[in-house]
Amino acid sequence: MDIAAQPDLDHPQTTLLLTRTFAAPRALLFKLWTQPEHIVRWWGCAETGEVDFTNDLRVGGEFTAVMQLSNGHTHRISGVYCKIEAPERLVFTWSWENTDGFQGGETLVTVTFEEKDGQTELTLRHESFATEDACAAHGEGWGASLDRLGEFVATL
Amino acid sequence: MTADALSETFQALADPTRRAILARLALGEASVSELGAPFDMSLPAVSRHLKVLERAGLIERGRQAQWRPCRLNGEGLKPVFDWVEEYRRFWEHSFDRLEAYLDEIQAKDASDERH
Repeated sequence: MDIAAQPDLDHPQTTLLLTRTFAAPRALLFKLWTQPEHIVRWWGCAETGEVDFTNDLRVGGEFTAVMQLSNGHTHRISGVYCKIEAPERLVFTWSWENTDGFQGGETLVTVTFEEKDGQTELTLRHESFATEDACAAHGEGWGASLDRLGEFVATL
Repeated sequence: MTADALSETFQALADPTRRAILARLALGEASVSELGAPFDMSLPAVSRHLKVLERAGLIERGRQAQWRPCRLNGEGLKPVFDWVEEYRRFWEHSFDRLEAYLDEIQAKDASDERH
């Protein structure tokens, strides 16, 4: 297993950047990321049980994941596909709510699949905030204003 | 912080003008008119945005009657940035399962080919 997680220095504390290499061709990985019958087999946190995943895989199409958690709660994650470039890149918005009506803010996820020596290096960037036009901007996100806030919080 | 309070924080951050105000305040405290200067907006409109930010615990206002400087409340912002850790938990666990699922699929394909 090859795992690497490091802070994204351009976006302190506001962006999660994860990289992992999978021993599989990227076309297969891309398929597992985009077809619901495969997605439900791996999607979720440690507390996630059954997942009901539906998607409309086209730019502007929506996906929803309804997750039954081990504590009896239900979480719903939904978003809109911004960019679909098989088998290289997926960009989608990501927001979640629970049954208590809590809604997290809209965030932005960019997944890239890069072929390396017959394996696939997957890089996932999850930005804490997506602007209303995040889809149009393809991950421009908050830019400089957010960096400054992240730096401020980092000094506390 | 309760889910409701965090939800209010996210709501407050959902507006580009309010995010710009926060970014300005990250540089230091400022008055209402200073904060409103970059925007084509009346002072009452700026004040409404400030009220939303204050209610969400993202800023604090000074108490002087005439000049009530606004400053960023880092404690209010921190939980928002802490969400990055929640994403990390979610994705790392998903990656672990994806890895196991890939092994399963590829082992099955290999055995299908043999038969």
